[in-house]
Amino acid sequence: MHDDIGDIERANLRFRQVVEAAPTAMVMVNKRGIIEMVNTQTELIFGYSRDELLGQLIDILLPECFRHQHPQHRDSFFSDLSPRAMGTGRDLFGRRKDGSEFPVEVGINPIETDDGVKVLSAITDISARKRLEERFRQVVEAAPNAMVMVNKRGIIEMVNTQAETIFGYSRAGLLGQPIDILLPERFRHQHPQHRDSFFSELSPRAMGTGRDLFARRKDGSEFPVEVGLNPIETDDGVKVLSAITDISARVKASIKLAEHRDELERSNKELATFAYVASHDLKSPLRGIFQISHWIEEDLNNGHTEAIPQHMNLLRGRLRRMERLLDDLLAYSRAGRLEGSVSQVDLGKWAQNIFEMQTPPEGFTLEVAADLPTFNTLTTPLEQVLRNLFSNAIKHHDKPAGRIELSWRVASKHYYEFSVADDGPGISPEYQERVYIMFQTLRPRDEVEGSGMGLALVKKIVEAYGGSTSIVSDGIRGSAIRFTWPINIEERLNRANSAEAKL
Amino acid sequence: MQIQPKQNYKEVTLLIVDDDDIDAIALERALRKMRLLNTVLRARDGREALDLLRSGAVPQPYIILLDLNMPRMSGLEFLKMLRTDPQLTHAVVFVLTTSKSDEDLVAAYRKHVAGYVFKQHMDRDFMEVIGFIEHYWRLVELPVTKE
Repeated sequence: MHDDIGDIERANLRFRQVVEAAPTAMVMVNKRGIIEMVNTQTELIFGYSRDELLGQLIDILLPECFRHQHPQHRDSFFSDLSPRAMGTGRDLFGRRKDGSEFPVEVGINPIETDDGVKVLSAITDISARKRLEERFRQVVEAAPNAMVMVNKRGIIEMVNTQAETIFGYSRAGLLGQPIDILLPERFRHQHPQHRDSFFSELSPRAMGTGRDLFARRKDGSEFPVEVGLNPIETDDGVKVLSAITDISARVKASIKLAEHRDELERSNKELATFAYVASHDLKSPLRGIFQISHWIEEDLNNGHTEAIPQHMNLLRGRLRRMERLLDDLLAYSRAGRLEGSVSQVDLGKWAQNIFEMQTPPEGFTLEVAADLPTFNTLTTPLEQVLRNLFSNAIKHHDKPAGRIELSWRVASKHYYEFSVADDGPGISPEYQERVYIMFQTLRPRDEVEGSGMGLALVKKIVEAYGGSTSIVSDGIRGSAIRFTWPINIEERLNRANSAEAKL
Repeated sequence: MQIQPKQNYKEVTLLIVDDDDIDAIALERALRKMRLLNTVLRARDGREALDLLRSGAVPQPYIILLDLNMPRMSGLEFLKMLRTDPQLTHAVVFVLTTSKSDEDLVAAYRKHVAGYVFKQHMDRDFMEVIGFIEHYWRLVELPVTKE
């Protein structure tokens, strides 16, 4: 008996020593919430002396606002006795003697004693950790790009203001949601897999190297992004902190740059062609004129005056050719820039007018399809295209009479396709590439006077409005030049502008 | 355009391949001034020249005077066809052109032209060229293939 009591007292003493030595504050209360034991850590953390605490209600250590719920929580603990963390999901606070409050974490353990069941609570002051967490939060908040932290299951746990801004969601609309809501739907199915592979090999890295990444705003629109991933170790397990940068502006700039580069390449090529052409095609009539002047001189000296009128004719022909080359060159360099204004044309009547303006030789007729559309378009470039095609068809015809046909169809949502067909000699397939090249003619200029600019000009104009040209001819009889033309040129111009603005 | 040669001349035919009437007339005038009565044939582009040559309408021996910038088939394209045709590959060709481009010049010599003459001066050239070509055909034995 004596020994038994001694044993119990020794056990009691040892228990007290253990509690005393614990690195956290330990408080034991009985069923009614009366403090029965505290350790030195408790005195330090709460600022009370041991005497001030023993025999008091535990409430003394709680902020006032929590006191009324506490008996209830305590009762529920006593009805289901098992060690656990207090208040999962809620932030817990302790209250010092001076009335100040501080964040705590509390583990609770039921202890069976002779005197009934008691609760032993281990209380840790987590102010320092909370401060660190707060600092982390501030750093994330201050980051210049959007930051989103997700847990292993892909649930968003933290976002900053930038994230709200670029995705168009409020913070409340993001927290607790799957990260998938920020992805375009077509990428969602792959994402869990990518996430798992990231979690299996934790290291900071850029997301999706080599792929173009897109994010999705609340309104469903998408934008290109760059994403940096960082694993963050927390008490709560590993999380991924993603830094998301909206790179629309950069993508837009690089698209613009590429466009400018292409434009520059094109105009450089044009310039090179021009230089070549200027040195040959423009010089050759000049050389001719110079030569003829010598012949005239020679023939006059030798008394061969009968050849002079012929020389004069040749000479004037060269002058006209020169003038025409210069005019056409100017037209070509301006093509696609001289637009005039948008107005309504009844294409059938209008085309007939353009044809008549060419003063076609007797025997040449233009047949226009009966149902040619009436639509709003930029008349200047379309007129240039039709005029060149008509004049080509007339000029290159090998018979005194010819029939030219203008027909059409709707080629796509945005384009008509027009066809100017003739019953002339046709263009053999082997030459069909060549006819588009500036100053290329298929017959000597001394036979058919032409600058060789017509189709080059047509192609340049049509392409300036996003269209294309093609030649259909077997090279035996007849040829058709087809070209596409915007149905709604205003919309096209606007679309081009707004595409620029949007990007 | 065919003129009967006198007996004491080597019967060298000149094939002028040039789309420009003035250049063709100028060459003929130069020949006449030098009292050369060789047969002169004219093609307006490479295609026409090839057709003429292949049809056997150009009497051998012949020298081809070739312009580069022509419709349908340019001088360089013509040279390419010429050199790959076993019947015509031996042909002696002088390029007469206004093109000063290095690429054209190199490309022409790659196709083994006998000379590349730049038509710079407007009139004098033709006399010089014809004079030079006359010397050439007097001194040089030209190839003749058997039919």
